[in-house]
Amino acid sequence: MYSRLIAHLGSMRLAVVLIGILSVILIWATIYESTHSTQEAVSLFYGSVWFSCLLLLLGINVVCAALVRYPWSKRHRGFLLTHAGILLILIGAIIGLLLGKEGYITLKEGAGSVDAITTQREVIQISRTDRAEFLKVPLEINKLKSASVPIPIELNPIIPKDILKVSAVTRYENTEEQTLVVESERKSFSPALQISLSASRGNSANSEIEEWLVLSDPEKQVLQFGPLFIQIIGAETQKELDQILNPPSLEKIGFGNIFFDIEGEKIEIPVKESLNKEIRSTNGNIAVTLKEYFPDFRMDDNDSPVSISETPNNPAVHYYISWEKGEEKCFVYGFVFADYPELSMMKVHGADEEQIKVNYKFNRSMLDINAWDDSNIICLVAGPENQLHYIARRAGEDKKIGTLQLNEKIPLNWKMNPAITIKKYVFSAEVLSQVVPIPLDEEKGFSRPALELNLNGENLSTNLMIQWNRPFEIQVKGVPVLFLYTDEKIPLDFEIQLLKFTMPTFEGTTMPASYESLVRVTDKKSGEAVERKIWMNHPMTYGGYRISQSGYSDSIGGKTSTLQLLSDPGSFLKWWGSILIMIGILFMYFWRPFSLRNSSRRNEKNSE
Amino acid sequence: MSSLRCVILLLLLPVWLLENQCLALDKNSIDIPSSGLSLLIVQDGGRKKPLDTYARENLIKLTGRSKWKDSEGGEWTALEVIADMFLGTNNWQKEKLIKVGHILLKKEVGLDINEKFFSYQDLHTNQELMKNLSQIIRIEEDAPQYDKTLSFEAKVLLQKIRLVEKLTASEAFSWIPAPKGESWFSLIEGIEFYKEKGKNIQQNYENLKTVYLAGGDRNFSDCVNILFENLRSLVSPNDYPQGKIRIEVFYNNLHPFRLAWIACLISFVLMLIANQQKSLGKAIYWFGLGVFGLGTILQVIGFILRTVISSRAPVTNMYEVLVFMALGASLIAFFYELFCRSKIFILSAAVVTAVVLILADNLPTVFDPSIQPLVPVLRSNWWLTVHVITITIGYAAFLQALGIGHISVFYYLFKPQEEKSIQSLTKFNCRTMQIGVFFLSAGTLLGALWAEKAWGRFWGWDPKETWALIALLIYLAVLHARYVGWIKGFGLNAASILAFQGIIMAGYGVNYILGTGKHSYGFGIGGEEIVAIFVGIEILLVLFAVIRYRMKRLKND
Repeated sequence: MYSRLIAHLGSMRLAVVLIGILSVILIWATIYESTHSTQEAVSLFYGSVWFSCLLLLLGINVVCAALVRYPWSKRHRGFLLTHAGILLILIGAIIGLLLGKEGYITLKEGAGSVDAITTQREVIQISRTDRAEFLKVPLEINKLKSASVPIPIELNPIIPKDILKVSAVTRYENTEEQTLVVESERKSFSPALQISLSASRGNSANSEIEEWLVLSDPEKQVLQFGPLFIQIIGAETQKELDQILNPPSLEKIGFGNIFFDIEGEKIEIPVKESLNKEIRSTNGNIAVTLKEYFPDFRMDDNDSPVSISETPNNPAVHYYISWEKGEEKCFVYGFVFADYPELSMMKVHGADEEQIKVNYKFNRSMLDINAWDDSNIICLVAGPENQLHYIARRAGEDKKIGTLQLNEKIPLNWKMNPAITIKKYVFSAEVLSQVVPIPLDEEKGFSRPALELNLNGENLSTNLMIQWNRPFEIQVKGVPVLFLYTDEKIPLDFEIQLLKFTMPTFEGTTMPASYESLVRVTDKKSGEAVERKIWMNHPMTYGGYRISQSGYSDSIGGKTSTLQLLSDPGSFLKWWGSILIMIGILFMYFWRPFSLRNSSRRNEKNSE
Repeated sequence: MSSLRCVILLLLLPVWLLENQCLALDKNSIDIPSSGLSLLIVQDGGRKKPLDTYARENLIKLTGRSKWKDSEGGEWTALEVIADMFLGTNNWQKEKLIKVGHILLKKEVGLDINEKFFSYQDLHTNQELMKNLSQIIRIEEDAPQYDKTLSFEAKVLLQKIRLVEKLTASEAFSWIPAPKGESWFSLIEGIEFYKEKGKNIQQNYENLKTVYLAGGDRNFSDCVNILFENLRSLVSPNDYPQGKIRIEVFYNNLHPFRLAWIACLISFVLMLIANQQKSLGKAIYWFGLGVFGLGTILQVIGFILRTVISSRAPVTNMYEVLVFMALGASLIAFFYELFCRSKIFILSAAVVTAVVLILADNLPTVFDPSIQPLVPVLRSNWWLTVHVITITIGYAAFLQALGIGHISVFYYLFKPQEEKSIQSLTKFNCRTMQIGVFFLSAGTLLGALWAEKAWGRFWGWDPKETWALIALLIYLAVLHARYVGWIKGFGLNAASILAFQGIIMAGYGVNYILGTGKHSYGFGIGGEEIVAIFVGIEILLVLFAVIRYRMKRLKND
């Protein structure tokens, strides 16, 4: 019974059929790959279970074909060697799959060393921050994709089941953090406006965009659409509103305020009123003098500061601070800029520079700044009692001022501009963020996957979106739990440092001829270090890993090189398998050239 | 005596081709002075090459042709065209040099679709057209589903326009040597770098120009020699390798592969005659074998010259693989023939070699014959040589099997009484496929081992490796099916023809049709129609043969 089964499994007929089927499937797969994508082809064909089964069946066929011919004679050696070789390669591949480690290290030139590799397997890391305990749970992406019910994640022993149960619901290929603006309970004035823009020449259906303008968030105060800027301005009281809508001359606005924080002592000084006066702090210890005000700051040809006009296009203030610390006298000279805080500079004597902060606030609408004269600007004013106003100005024209209702188009007939309406006015805005799945953008070359988790505990049942590489902390029954969804990291017994990355080019061109990383590898135990150059086709072997050049990037931040580290215990089987196959074919086809002639004659005779 | 007439016609064919292709090219080189400039070294595309090569490559890039007929009917070699741009006043910007073949592109950018060639001025001064071109290219960047060939063709056209601009400007290319692998200079940069010496070169160049424009005479070669002398004195001899450049110019002018296919066709005809003739048969056979041997030696010479020029095994693009495949098939046939004289191997090898070499020789835009530096991932002489040469020997064996397959199918259908010939043909076909299987599996395994080293994985189902496996599996299925007895002699021969279509897909299709995967350094476009027609004819042929063979068998039964 068994021998007949083996005879069938090892028959050459089955082999021909299997080889035929495999060929057809592979042809289909490569065509599918070129019309779809490599990823899809892998998940549908090469990575699928049935494909592995087919290969396994072929392996069984190879083994049985050898068994059927037992007891073996000398003329079987070629056949046996070849089939043993195929088997060795298959076994080597399985060993590599099960025991192999593969990962990448990205190193920056001249930076420190790295002692762990990042694999492409994803894990969810759960830690208790109060006890410094953590768990790493590998995620099976394919299983998760096809699962209809959430897959439980074992939290033992760090979090008992009665406190929290976690299960993975699904994985999203790409997500994005979206702003969500809600009415806060604080009821303090902090306005936000939701506006909608739709193309005036509606040539495509989904050309409507919604955006939030938030006063308290510097990144969301101004929106830009080509040459158009939209700015939010807040007016808490009627008086402020009147001032904004009927602005007094610039003289009346003043020159803004400067906030000093000197070793914890805070002083606010209005610039216009305090020029060239010594202002003392509340405890009288610190003296501040605003030496000079430059409404439109520039450096002239002799590198000395000047103001090129009287309009506050680039306000800057030259100040002097002095105070006494015990016996010692401390003083600071500096420049501070309203629009470019990062350019501020100071010279400090007798104190720590870190302890001194100077901040110049000069609130003007963009309309007051000459630098924006060539832009089209719409200022939306959020006033008290839900009043909405706009001030708009097209480049080179006069300002237009008017009131607005919600959902009413701003009455501007500027060519090419989108129609703008205010959808919502939130008086006391609180900005939250929400992770939502978005379609994969292959052109962008970057995606942020997220894992949806289901959390279940006493009084708690919620779904959470954990974005890749963004830690997320929650408190459950007073236990702080930190989730991190990331690539798995495998620690190494050695550390690698990139000393130099070079990219020689072909003569006279910018075409790279090679990518070369000079690395130092240090054994952690012995401290022994080796320096070696790794480049394409010239990997380095160290500590059971083969280290090869994989990628690079050369940006403003410095050169980085990505190395691949691979440890494959099945590698030698693949080598020996390959050698055996070749020797086997040699024996089979070429060792006794005359036997074939006889057999072919025999076949010809049979055919007649 | 209809067969004799046929034979004479066939004999005349290569002679005609020879005259047409070979002689015409080098005819002018004696009396036109620019030929002395062929040895001027130019740094271009990542290596140093003679102006001769530079000119050939760029003329093909612009016009798709290897020589040029100007509007007044004058014939120019590539070197003459480029040298004239370099030295002359002839207004090439007005010459209709730029080939635009893509009809859809012509429609999109507003060019006359009945015209094939356009001048630089036609295109460059047409602002509407330039705007359209850049728009087509930009749209592709935003939308991936946009017609990729169109934007590719648009990019190519833009490159051609730039190329004419570059070639006709005084700052044409980098021909002033720089020390130690640095970027070479154009004339103006050279003067700045070398000061006095650079001014000398400029003087030489001006003299050369004057002599050239005056019609050229003996002085021209003197001027060229002085120029070379001065250029050589700028850097160390290693940085101005005139010996190697001489070899390359020799290779360019020899056309070893063209001569080889002509030799193959001649030997094919001779072998046919030898088959017919009783009295003189033996002498003609030896003569034919000699011609075939000459063709093979020419291929070997070509192969060695390419190796010397590029300092690596010349097996890195489609052209080189085709040429090497032909060489392999020729060698296998030649050795078979030496061991057992049956004419048939030479007959089949002569045809397949000639077909492959004619394809490689006449489609420079599809199979680029230029020598280019290697991409980093291939820069391992040992692995590259071993892997690609082994695979290509495998292909060559299957090519030879294809030839034998055709002849045996022919025998089966029209001369079934010659059983002995059929039997030996079938035996050799089987043996050749076995050789192919050995080398293809060795090459594929070597590729896997190399991939393990270079890419970090042994096998990754990359389209190229998958197709190598498919081709191997097809041949394995054929050989195994024969052991089982599912196919017999006829089936094996027919299968050797069909299975070769798998090799075409693995070699050509993956790089030119599928165009995905890690072997992207070998990708190209073009030639789909020719390949499709070839594959179609082969499949129809086999179908026809199978039907006829079956009907015959039925009748006999």
